[in-house]
Amino acid sequence: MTFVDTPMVEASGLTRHYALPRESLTAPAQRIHALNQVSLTVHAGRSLGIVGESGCGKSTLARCIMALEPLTAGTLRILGKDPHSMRPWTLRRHRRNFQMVFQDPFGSLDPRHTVARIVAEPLEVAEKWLKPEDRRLRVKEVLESVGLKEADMAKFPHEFSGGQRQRIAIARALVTRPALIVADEPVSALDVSVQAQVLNLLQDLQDNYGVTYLLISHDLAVVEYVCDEVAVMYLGRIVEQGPTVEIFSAAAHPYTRALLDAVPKMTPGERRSRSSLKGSVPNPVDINPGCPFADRCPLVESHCRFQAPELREVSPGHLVACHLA
Amino acid sequence: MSVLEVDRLTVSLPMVGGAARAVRGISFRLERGESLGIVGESGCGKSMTALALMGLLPDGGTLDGSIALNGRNLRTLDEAAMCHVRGNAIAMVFQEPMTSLNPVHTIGKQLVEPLMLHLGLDRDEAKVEAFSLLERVGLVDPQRYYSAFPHQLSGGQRQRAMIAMALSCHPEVLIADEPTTALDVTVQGQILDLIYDVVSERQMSLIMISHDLGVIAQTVDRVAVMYGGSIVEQGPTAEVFAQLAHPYTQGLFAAVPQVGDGRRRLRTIPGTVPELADLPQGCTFAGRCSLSRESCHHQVPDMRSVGPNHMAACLRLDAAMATSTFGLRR
Repeated sequence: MTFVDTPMVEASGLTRHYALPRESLTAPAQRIHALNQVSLTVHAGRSLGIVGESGCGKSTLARCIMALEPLTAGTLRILGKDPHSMRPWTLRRHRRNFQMVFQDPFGSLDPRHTVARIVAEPLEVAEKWLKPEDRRLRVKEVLESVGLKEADMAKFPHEFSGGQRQRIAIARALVTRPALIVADEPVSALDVSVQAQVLNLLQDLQDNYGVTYLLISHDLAVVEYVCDEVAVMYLGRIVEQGPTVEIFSAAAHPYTRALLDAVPKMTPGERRSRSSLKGSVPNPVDINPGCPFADRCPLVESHCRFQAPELREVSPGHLVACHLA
Repeated sequence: MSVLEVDRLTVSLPMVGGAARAVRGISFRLERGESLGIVGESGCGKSMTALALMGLLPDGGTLDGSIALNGRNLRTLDEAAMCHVRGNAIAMVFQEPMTSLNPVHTIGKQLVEPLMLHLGLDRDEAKVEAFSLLERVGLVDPQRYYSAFPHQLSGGQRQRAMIAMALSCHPEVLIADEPTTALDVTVQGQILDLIYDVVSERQMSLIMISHDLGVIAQTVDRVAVMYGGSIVEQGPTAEVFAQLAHPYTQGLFAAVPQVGDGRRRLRTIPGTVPELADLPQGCTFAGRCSLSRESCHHQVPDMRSVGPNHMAACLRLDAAMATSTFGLRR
């Protein structure tokens, strides 16, 4: 059930703050600004990658879009409907359209359930009316589409390797035939040779079933490999967003450029250029009024510290939040 | 004379259902001031090699072969003598600084302890030395870091503190086991710069263990590729990266997505890394290798020369070299 003109995901001003415990009775509780005014649109069949370092809010964004976390402010529409305002039962049924793959394939599968039961579980909510034999058929089909065999249905998760477990997790996400899959670091727990198998699988599923991905990763190469568009996050904000090719060839934000430079290249002999960034990501408790990146930026100017830059278009579809871009 | 000379090192670990040979007869040497990278996937034996060099094998683990440090065989040393070697001659930086630092002691206390124990400094001298070490690793404002507990530091700062501890007794060999895996990419660059700087300014030898080919390419002079407990290929980094000889090395390089490659389809290695408990009889890679023949499953291949100082262990080396279509993607 895809509406041709309705964007898959339409988010505007998504904000999520977490209150910290009070340090004293009189002091106001401090807040962690995990997500600040994030707006994005993903169209059907176009995949968006979200990159950033730890603590930049990319996982919070994924959980807010999946309606696993309440929003502090902002509106979200998935296929035109707002999951955050739905009643629980309606939301559960709406979930068949958007599913999630988690990072750790060892923690996200119930060790006491067989593969058949794990993969069939979303169907019990989304398509309760399916007869047992039809359900079995669906599970078999989806397992085959991720490269597992029918014989694997009776096995338990511990009988599989990390890569195979991640395939099971992907099969579970696919079984309701969702239009959108939110994948939070789907390959970062896997070894290089296995990671390549799972990445190829993600690409095949996109080509064969037209799945839209929202892919969260800290690895720029992984995002470039799967996604049409990239959003770079820093301290709970999107600092740059645009078509993958353009971001990787002509990054406009100094943070994006530093991220790209910091990836060690596989060219021996050529010493890495000295890291241009000092320090690490600041604490998201005290947000200063200016640009969130001002303290680490090599190009910083005095007004950067007082005035927060808005996201603005520098070329068609390419948005940057920087005064100097 | 090489600083470190490892000859046919084998490590066995007790497992349910018999001993697992985590490291199977590896040999390499390390010259003064040289850096060696060990690269491989999880379970290939790279960390176990490092622990064997440090004499820190898990309970029940046994060693075979020889490890010679400046000509002295470390295997003949008792625990007391080994304690003297650790820190003074070989020091190690671990992957996850939070688990290898003591959470109930300040950074200062953990830094002063080896200085007093190994170098025989008194408390005041040790504190002065600790301050200068903290400053050297980029923790400016040493007073603050000296009295900080590990949980008060960020991941990068903890790793800097670990490096300060490893440097404290002027070791000749520094082993860094995945020193940047737990860190963000912008911090990773800073830590690699730091390791590179201290190693070259003190003329130390470095063993850098990593699964990241990019990190290896940019930090070490020589590289050894491990698979299933064996070194399958080793040689000068530039040489190896230009001419991948072993089928596993070729597969590993082709499987890594690179920034700037776009939506190129990745070549994969079928199957998964074998369990250490039941490694195959012959070549450990035979089960996943597209070139394997019957003989590969029975015979363990020897290292053969493929170029200046560049060796690979494969029975089908000629076929493998012929299929090596690319040196390396530009």
